Amino acid sequence: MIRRLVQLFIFVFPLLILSAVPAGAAAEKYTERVFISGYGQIIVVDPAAPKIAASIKVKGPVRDMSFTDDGKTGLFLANDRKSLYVVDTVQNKIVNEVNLEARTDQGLLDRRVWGSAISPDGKKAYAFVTQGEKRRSSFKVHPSKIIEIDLKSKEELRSVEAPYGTHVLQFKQNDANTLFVWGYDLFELDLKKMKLTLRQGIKHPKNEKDGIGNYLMLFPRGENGMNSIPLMKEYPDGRVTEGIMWMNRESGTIKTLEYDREPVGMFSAVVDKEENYAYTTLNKWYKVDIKSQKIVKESVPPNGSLYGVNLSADEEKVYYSGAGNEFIIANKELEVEKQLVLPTDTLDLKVVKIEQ
Amino acid sequence: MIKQKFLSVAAAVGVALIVSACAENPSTETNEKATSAVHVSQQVEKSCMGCHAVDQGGKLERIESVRKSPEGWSQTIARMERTHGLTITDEEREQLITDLSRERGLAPEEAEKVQYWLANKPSYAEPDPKNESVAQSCINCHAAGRFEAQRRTEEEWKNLKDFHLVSYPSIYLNHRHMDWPQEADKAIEYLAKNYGVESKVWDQWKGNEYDVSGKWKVVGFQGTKGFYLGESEFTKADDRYSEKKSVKFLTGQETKQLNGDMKIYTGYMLRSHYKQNDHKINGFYNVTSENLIKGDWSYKEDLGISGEETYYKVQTENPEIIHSEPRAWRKGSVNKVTFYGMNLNKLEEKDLNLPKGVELTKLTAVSDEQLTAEVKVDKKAESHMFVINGGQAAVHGKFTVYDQADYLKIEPSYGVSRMGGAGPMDKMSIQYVAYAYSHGKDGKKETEDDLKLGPVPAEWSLLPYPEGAEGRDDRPYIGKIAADGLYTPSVEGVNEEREFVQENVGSATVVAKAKVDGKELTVKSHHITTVPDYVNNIH
Repeated sequence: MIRRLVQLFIFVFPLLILSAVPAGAAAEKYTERVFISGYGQIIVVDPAAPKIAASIKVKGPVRDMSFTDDGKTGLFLANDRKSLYVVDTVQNKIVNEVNLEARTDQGLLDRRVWGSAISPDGKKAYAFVTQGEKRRSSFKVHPSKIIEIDLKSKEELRSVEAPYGTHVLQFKQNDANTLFVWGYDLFELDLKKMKLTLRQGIKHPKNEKDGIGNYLMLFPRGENGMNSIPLMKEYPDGRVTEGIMWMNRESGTIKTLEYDREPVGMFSAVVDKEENYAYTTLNKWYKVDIKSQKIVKESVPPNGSLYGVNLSADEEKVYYSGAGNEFIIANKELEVEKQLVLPTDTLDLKVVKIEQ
Repeated sequence: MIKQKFLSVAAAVGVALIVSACAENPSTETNEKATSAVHVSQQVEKSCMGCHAVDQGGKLERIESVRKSPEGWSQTIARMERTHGLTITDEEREQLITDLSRERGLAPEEAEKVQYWLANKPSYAEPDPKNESVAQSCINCHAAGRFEAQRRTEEEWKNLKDFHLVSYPSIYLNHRHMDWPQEADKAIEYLAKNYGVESKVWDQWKGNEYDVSGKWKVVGFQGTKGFYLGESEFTKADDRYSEKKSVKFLTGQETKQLNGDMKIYTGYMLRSHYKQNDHKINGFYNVTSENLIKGDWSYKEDLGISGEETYYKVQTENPEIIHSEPRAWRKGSVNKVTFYGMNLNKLEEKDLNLPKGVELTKLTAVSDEQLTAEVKVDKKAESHMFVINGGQAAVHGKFTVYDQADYLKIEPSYGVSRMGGAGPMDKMSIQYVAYAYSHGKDGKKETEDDLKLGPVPAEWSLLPYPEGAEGRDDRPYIGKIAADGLYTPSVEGVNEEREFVQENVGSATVVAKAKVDGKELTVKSHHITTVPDYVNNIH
């Protein structure tokens, strides 16, 4: 009898352990965490519970969030877009703060970041900054640029002028020498030569008959290799459409789709890595079949507008946050399964696989 | 040269130095009138020269390269206090506004065009800027009145672009439908050419100042209540005035007494502060001659309760008609008209030079301030608007001969009310008024010769917007419209009875029905109730 119980225990115990972590996580050996940009804090959520795993205090509202390839280090923009915080995501601790304000011989150089990224190895940060010199009785604008920062010394290593409208920097997947620079159009920064080139016109397409694209990528995606964003398009005949634009971060290929209905305005979108379905959010939630370009499921956020949508690391669930103080887990039919109250209002959420 | 290191400590120290330099606390001694050796005034030198040096041209940097209204200078000084560490007393602030408005102000001709902005008129539909780049780059965020109430050198207009990009760096994201810096450059070129700091009208006006002491007659109009008449007396003490005013609406409501304290800026801009029972009322008037003051007033706690007023200096020599009821006279009819004014016992029929086909058949003096008349208008008289030239009599305002009332218009045509009253934010009501119109000579609606006949009593109601939309009706939440057309919005904050929207914001269609000259007329207009004016310095 005792022997049978032991045998049963030996059989069941591994199953219990396996069931405690997602199947994907077990295979790839990672811990899934959701990083949510709050006010005065980075909110770290363990979505398996769900529960708040940590609250990391910073100055002001949190904006950009980017991570190293192993997920163990994150770069967070906060302090009215003036400071970059380097965070150890295993211990949920700030390990470095880079303030981008500087002195000039006539006053202060107020630099604000609109797009930042940490290098895949965590040694450098890249930031697009607008620069305003505050002199004794006047303001002077200096050219906006992308700066390369050594995170150890906090020194600015190199820089290159970049156009107004830039707001997202994102590394090409598996290529530490190429940054995608999202602005009015998509640019590519060759980090070896520190040279910026236009990759694809979006606001300024080669042929305006293809539609003039307008997007504001405050909610970039790409954790699963697909960066995606809602896109409005305006055609020469006056037609305005709403849809989604997404890019394969490895190949750099951009695709778009347009809904078969009137624009309602969406803030963020996420596309699964197989490019089967997309999910979008603001005042409504859409599930879009990419092949047919049809909205196949529609729902309404339970407590009001939500800015950010993302997919769980195993792509089995849809996560929502941004705007109010809530984190929502829904199934892929847009049915709410769990809700978690957060300590502050929020902007966006990133799903990170932290290697074990 | 820009140092490339991130010297956060040095930056913080730098801020402290700049702030401390700007925060010099000048003495409060009375300011003396500027002399040629003084930059604007002693108060300006004391309060501003910590940061603003004298440039190579001998002018105080920035300050002596711009001209603004008292409201514009007030906003600039507030910004210096808010973000640059200027510390001044209330008296010093007032002295700065007075001195800057006197030395670096606007001419009457320049201010007249932006009176709506200076008076903060509610639901005012500003005309589109003539320049497309100005329209594109500026008025997405604020009214054109904000910069049209300024005059700057070309360099100062350029500085304004840098000011925007440094102060509001997100400007290029919320203007991503255009290349904002490029559009702004084109706008600046236009503004420098058309709103330059040098002007003949300013050179001619600067240094003049009206004295409004004495007795005045008042004619006003308040939407929902109609025209009113009154009397006023200004008494001068030092550089300020006090005013006692009493007004009475023609519809027979009670007399209202107002006591006010006021000051003239730039020699002609009369800014008044009244108390009337529990209400505080602000007045924004311009003295346009020794005998005339025109302007607007509004409740401090509800900008939507407002009116327009004209003051006429009391004189005892000649007959002077300051208001007539009605002003639109129908053809083929004998129109009963009441004239209001001064010395009307002296008025004779020959004093009124009426157009062809318009005949004064009866003139009866009710008092020295009121006449009743019968005006016969021939069927064949020309439909038009005209002024009455009258010998030794002065007749103010325009009159209209018309065929028939054809349609109504609601003012404001797009009503914007704001929730408020529950917390620190004030609500903003709307005084809806229905005006009758005639098609004019061409018999067509909405053409240049259409004739505005005046306000008419109407029956007011709200319809859902959009009409016929299932499941959406904002009316139970957003506010109420009274029988006289006064729309009062609901309070701000969460309304738990409301699904999804959760606040008392929304839209409705306003409907006015009126019977004019025996004809039933109906008109609709759009209404919104929106959030309180949280950013009321960006209007």
